[in-house]
Amino acid sequence: MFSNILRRLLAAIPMLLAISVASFLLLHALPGDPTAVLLGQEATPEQMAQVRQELGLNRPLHVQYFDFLGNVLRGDFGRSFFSGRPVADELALKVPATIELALAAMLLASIVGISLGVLAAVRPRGVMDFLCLGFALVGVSMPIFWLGFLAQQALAGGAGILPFGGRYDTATWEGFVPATGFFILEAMFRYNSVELTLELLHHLALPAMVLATVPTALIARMTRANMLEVLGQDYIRTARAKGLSTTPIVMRHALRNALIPVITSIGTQFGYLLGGAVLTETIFSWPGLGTYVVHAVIILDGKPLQASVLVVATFFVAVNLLTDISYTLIDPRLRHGGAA
Amino acid sequence: MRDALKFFMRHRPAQVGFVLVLIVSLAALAAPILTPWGPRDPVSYEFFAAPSSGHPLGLDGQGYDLLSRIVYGARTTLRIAILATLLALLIGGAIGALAGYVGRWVDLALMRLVDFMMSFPSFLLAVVMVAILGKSLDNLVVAVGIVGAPQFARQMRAEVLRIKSMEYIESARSLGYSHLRILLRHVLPNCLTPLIVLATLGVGSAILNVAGLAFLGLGGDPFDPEWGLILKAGWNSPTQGAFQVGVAGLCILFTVLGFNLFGDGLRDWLDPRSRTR
Repeated sequence: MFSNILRRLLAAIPMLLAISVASFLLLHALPGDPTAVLLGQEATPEQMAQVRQELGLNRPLHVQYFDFLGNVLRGDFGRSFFSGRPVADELALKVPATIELALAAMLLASIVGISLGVLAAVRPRGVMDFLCLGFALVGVSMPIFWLGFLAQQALAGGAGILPFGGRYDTATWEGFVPATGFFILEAMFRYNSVELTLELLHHLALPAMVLATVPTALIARMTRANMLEVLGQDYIRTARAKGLSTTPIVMRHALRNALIPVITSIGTQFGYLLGGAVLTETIFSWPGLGTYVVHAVIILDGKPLQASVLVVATFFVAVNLLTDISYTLIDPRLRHGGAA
Repeated sequence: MRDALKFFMRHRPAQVGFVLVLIVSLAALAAPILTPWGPRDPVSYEFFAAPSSGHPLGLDGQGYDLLSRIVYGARTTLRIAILATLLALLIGGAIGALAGYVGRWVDLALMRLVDFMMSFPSFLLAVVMVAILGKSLDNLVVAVGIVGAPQFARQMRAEVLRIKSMEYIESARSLGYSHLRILLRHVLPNCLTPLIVLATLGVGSAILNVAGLAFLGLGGDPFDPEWGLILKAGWNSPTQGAFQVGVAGLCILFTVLGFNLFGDGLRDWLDPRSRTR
C-alpha cells in the first residue's frame, strides 16, 4: 500500500514542475510590457532599459525561471503592479475565502446529491427517480450566473431572507479584524462570537447553494447509476432472500460499495470548485480567488494572475492526489497491493 | 440507419433535445427574416420599454428591440460555441489519433500534455487563455476550443487503440499501405461516432463557457448581440433589466438542455448496455 502511495507522490512532482513552468511562461505570454506599465508613456528608452535591468527581465529565460521558482518556494509571488502589495499577502486573504465557499458548496452537494441518488435508485421510475434525473439534467445545463441572479432576486431581493453578497456586513461588524481569510474559523475560535458566526453563515448560504448546483447534479446522477448497478447484484438478492428489509440492505450493503466511485468524483469536483468558482464569486461579490483572477485579467495584472494559476493548479493536483490515496485506503483490493 | 431512426422514435428525451436544437438553429439561420430590426439598430430611447405589438419582448437597456437581439444572439452564441467545439474536436482529435496510432514516447508525451491541461479547472483555463489572447468574441472560439480539446484527445486515443488492434488493420498493413493512408482511410472513419456524441454534448458546455466569459466582460463589447452580454446588460440595472436577464437566461438554459438531451440520446444509442434497459 505504501509503495502505491509513494509512487503517486513521486508522479506528482513532474506535474508540479510543469505547472510552475507554465505559470512562469504565462507572465511572458501576456500582452503588454510590464516596464511600460510601471513607467507610464513618457518613459525614455534609457529608463526602460534601466528598469528591465532592475527587474532582471533581460537575463536568460532559464535563469529567470529558477529565480522565480526559488522565490515561489520561499512564498514570494512578487508584487501586484496595480495595488503595489505583495501578491502572497493578497492571496492569503483570497484563497481561504474560496476554500470556505467551496467546502460549504461541496458539503451541501454531497449530502443532497447522495441522498437524491439513493432515493432515486431505491425506486427506479418512481417520483424521486424522476426528480433526480430531472435535476441532474437541468443542473448541468444551467447557466450558473443566471441561477445566481434568480436566487438573489427571490431570496435576497423579494423575500429579503438572505443578503445579496459579500462575506459579512462590514458596517455592523467594524470590530471584526480578521487575521486570516478563514473568517468562520476565526469567528468561532478567536472571537468566540455566535452572532458573528451566524452572520458569516448567513452570507455564505446563497453563494454556496448556487455553487453547489452543478456538483449536486453530477453526484446525484453518479450515485443513482452506481446504486442501480450494485442493487442488481447477486449478494443483494441474497440479502433480500435472508429476509432483510430495504433500509439495512441499502444503507449497510449497497451504499458502501456504490459510494467508492462517488468519493473520487467528489474529490475532483472539489478541485474544480477551488478554481471554478469564478462566476459564483463574481455574482455574489465574494472576495475570493475567482474574483481576484477576473480582476487581474481585466486590468492585465501579471503577477496576481501567475500566482493564482500556480496556486489553483497545485491545489488541483494535491486534491486529486489525496483522492487517489483515500481511494487506496478505502478499496481493499488496492490496499492489499493490487494494481492501481 | 433505420435502426437509429427506430431507436430515436422511442427515445422521448432525445426527441425533445432535437426539437430544441432545431428551433434554435433555425432561428439563428433565419435571423434576418424573423426579426423586424437589425441587431445594432437602436429603436428608441425608451430603455427597457415593456412589450408592445411592435416589440414582442419590449426594448432592452440600450434601446434595441429585445427580440431581434435575442434571435441574433442565437446566431452569435451558437456560432462561437460550434466553432469552438469543432476546434476542440480538431486539436483533440489530432492529438489523440497521433498518440494512439504512433504509441510509445509520442503517446506518453502527448498524454502527459493532456493530463497537464486537465490539471487546471477548465473555466479558469479559458479565463487565462482570454488574458493571453485578448478580449474579443473571436478569441473566445480559441479559448473555449483549446479548453475543450483534452477530452476529445482521450476519447480519440481510446478509439484509435481499439481499432488499431483489429485484424483488418493488420491486413491493410500487410498489403503495404502507408501509415498515413491506414490512419486516415481505415482507422479514423471508424472512430468518429463516439466523437460526434462527445461533440454534441460539448456544444452545450461550450455555450455555457462562452456566455459565462462574455458575462464576465471577457469577450465582445456591449453592442455585440450575444446571450451572455445581453444577460449582463440587463444585470447591470437589476430592477428594470430583470425581464431581459430572464429571457436571455432561459434561451441559454433551453439551448444547452437541448444539446445535452440530444447528446445523451445519441450516447444511449451507441451504448448497447443502456439500449436494453
